[in-house]
Amino acid sequence: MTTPAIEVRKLTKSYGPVKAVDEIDFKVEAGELVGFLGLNGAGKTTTMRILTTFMPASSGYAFVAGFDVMYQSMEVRQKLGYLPESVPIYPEMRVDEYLSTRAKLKGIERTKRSTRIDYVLERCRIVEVRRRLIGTLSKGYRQRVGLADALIADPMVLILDEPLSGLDPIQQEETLATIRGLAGQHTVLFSSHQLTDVEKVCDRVIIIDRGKIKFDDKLSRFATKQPMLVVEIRGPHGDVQMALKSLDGVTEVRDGAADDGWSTFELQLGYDKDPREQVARKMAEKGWGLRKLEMRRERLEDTFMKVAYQRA
Amino acid sequence: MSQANTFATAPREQAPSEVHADNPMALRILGVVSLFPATLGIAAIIANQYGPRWIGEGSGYILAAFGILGLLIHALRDTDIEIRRVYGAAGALLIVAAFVIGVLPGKPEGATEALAGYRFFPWGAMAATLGLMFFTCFARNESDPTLSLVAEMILNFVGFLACTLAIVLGLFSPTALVGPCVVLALLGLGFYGAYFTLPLDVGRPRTLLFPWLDFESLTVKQGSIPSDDRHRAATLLGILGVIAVLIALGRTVAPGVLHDGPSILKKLNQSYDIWKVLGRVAMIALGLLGVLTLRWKSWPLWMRASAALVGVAWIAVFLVGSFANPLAKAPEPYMIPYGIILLGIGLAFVAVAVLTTSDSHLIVLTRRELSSYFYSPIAYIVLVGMAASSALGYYIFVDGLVGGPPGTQIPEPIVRSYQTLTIFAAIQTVFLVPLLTMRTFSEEKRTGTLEVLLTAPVQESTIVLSKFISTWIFFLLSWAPAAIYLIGFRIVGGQPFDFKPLLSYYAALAACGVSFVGLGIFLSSLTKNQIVSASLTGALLFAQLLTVIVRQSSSEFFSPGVRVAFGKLDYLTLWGQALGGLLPVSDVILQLSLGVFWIFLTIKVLEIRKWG
Repeated sequence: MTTPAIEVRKLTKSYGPVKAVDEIDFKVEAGELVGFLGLNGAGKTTTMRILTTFMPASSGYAFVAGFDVMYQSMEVRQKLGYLPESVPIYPEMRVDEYLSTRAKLKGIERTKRSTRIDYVLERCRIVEVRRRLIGTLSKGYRQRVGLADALIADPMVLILDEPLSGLDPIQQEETLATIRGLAGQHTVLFSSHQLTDVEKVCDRVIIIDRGKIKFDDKLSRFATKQPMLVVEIRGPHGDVQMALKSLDGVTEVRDGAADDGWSTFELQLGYDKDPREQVARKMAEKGWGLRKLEMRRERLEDTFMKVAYQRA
Repeated sequence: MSQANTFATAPREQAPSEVHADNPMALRILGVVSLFPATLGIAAIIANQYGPRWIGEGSGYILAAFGILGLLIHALRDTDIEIRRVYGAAGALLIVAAFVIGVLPGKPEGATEALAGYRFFPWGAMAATLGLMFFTCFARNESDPTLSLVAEMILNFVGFLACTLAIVLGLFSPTALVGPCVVLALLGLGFYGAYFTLPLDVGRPRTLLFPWLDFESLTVKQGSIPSDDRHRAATLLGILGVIAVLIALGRTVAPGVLHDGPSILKKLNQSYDIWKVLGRVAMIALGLLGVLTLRWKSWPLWMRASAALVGVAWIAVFLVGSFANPLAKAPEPYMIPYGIILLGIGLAFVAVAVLTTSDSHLIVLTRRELSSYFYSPIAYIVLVGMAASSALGYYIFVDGLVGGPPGTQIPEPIVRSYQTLTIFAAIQTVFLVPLLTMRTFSEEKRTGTLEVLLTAPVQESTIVLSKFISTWIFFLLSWAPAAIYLIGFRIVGGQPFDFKPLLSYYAALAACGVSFVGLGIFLSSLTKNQIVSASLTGALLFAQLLTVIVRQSSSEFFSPGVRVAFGKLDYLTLWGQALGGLLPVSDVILQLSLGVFWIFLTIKVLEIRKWG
C-alpha cells in the first residue's frame, strides 16, 4: 500500500466567521487525475492554497506525498508544482530567465537545467516567446509560462488552479491534452469551471460547495448508472401516472412540470430496461397525446446543477 | 496513446504575432544629430587644455554629455549590422585609447619629470567608461556567433586586466590604492558586469575559456557540475579577490608580528602572559586549518594546495615572530588607511564572483532582486538624483575650501568641513530609502507573486534576507557618486588630503543603512500598498532625524533620560562625528542591531500566515 499523493482529513479553514472549507475529507492516489469543481467561492482555491502550504488550515490535516503541509512544509513544496489562479509572474523578466531562476530555486542541477527548460518550453508551446519580456505577453501565454514553471522540476504532485481560464479554444485543447498526458507519472488536481472539458480529461471529479464536498466519484460510474426516461403526455394527469407506473421496467414515476394540458414525467427504469415502445403503444391505445420520449443519461453537468440548485 | 497523438498532431507553434524590426529612421536621425554636439564638445574640452577657447570647458562637457547620450541611445537600439559594428569598433578604439593614455607618461603641473599613468585619471578612465558603454551596446546586439564570441573575450580580458592592474598597482604603491586602484577596480567590475549580463542563450552555454578552471575536470567528486565560460570567468575574478584579501591581511599582520617578536607575549616582569600565548597558539592552529584542507577531497587540487601554502606561510610568520624579531624597524601601519581599501576591492571581487556563479537560494534571489531594480526606472532616477544632489554638496564643500583668503591652511582632516555632506545625506536618506524599500514586499503582495515565491521550496528567512541584501547593496551603490567626486578631488587636486575620516563616515552610513533598509522592508511587508509603505518609512526616518533636536535641546521639556535615549537614535550627529574621524562603536552596533530586529520582525510577518 503506497501512501496517497494527496490526503485531506477533516480540513477546515475559517476566515473570521466565514467557514470557507468545512471538514472536508478526500484522498487522491498517486497518478490520478482529479477535477476539482465548484461554484465561485465554494472553497476550491482555499483548499488548494492549504495544500500548497501557502496558508495554514484552521483545523484538520492535509498530507502531500505523505508529508504534513503544516509541519513538513519544505518537503511538501519540493514535491509540488503549483499554478495559482491569476498566474502572477514577474513582468520585468524574460521567459527563459524566469524559468531558469525558478529551476534554480527548485533545486534542479546545473547539468539538467537547460534540458528541462527546453522540455517545458516545448511542452507548453512557448518556444517562440522564450526571449520575450513576460510583461508583454498576453494572459494565455502567461498562463502557459506559469504551467511551464509548475512542470519544471518534474514534481510528483501538480496543483493547477483554473489552468484553462484565459486560453483560446485551441490552446484549451492543447493544455487539456498536456494535462491528460501528465496523468500516470504525476498526480494532478485541477480546478475548472468548464464542465465539458473536465469530463473529457478526468476520470474522477470532486465537487465542493459551500466548503463541503458534495460529490466525489469516478465519471465512469455515470455510464453504468441507469438512464432515465422523460416523457411529455397530454391526458388526465392521475390516470397517466397510474398507466406509466404499471409498465414493465418502470420503478418510479416522478412528476415534472405541467403546462397547457401537457404533463412531464420522469421514469426511473430498472436494470437494462427500455420501455419506450410500450409507452408509445399504451398512449396510442388510450388516445392520449405523446410529444416527447427521451432517454436521458445523467451527466456531470446535471450533478453539478443539482449541487448548485440545492444550495438555492 | 491518444493524448500523445493530440500533442504530436497539434499545429506547429507560432509566435503570437509577426515580429519585424523597428523602423530605425528616428533613431538614426538622433544618432546623426547627436554626433555634432559630441564632436564639438570633445574638441572644445581638448582644445581648452591648451588655453582658453571660444567654447569654454564647462560648456564643452555639457555638449559632449548630451551628444554622447544621444549616440548611446542610438547604439543600443539600432541593431543594423553596419551601424552596430561601427559603434563596436569605436568602443574598441576608445578602450585601446584608454590603455594608451593610461600608460603614456604625463607631466604633472610644476613637476620636472613625466609620470607614467598621470593622465589615467580622468582621461583614461573616461575613455574606458565610454568605450565600455559603446562596446557593450555592440556586444548585446551582435548576432554573428564568431564576432559575439570575440566581443565576449574582449570584455572578459579587459575586465581581468583592469582588476589585476588594480591589485598589482596597489601592491607596489599603497598610495595609489586610494585613487587609480579604486577607479581601475570599478572599471574592471564594469567590464565584468557587462560580460556577465550579456543575454546568453540559457540553453546553450559555451565552454571555451580557461579549461583549467573547469571544476569537473579538476574535482575528484563524482557527478560534479561542469562550468561554462561565465562561470569560469567569475571563478577567476573570485580568485583575484581572494588574493587581494590575503595580501591586505598579510601585509597588515606579518610586519607587526615580525617586528614585535617574542616580547609581545610577555608581561612587564618578563614572564609569559598565558592569554597572549594561547592567542598565538590559536593563530597557529588557524594556519594548520589551512594546511588541513589538503585532505578536503571535494576541492580542486590547486585550491587545496594554495590554501595549504597560505596556511604554511601564516604558521611560519607566527612561529618566527614567537622566537625572534627579524624586523628591527617599526612598520608603518598598513590596514588603516591603505589595507582596508585593498581589502574592500578584494571583497567586492569575491562578492561579484559569488553573485554570478552561486546557485544557493539566497544568491539566486538576491541577484533577481538586484537586477529587478535595474529593470525599473527607479534605479536610474535614484542614481541620477543622488549623483546630482551629491554634486551640489561637493560644490559647496570645494567652494568652502577654495573660498578662503589665499594661503590659508585648512587643518586636517579637511573633510570635516564637508559637513554639508551629512545634512545632504540625511535629507537624501529620507527620500532614498522609502523609494528603494517600498516595492520589496508590497509589490509582490499586490501582484500575487509572493504566493508563487512562498510555495517554492525556499525558506522565508532566505526571501527576506535576499530582499534586504539586494536593497542594502543598492543603498550603498547610491552613495558611490559622492565618493567618486572626492577621489577625483584627490587625484586632480594633486593634494593628497587625509581621507581616513571618509572611511569611518562610510562605515557609519553602511551601518545605518542596515537599520534603515530593515525598517523599510518591514513596513513594506505589512501592506500591499507601496504608497503607504513609502510614506510610513519616510515619516519614521524623518522622525528619527528629528531626534537630533531632542538631543541638543536644553529645555526642561525632555528629561535627561529621554534626551539620552533619543540621542542614541540620532544619526545626523553620528555621521558628523564619523566625518570628524570618530566612529562611536556603540552607536554603530545599535544601528546594526536595530536592522537585525527589523529583519527578524519581517521574517515573522511572513511566517504569521502559517500561524492560522
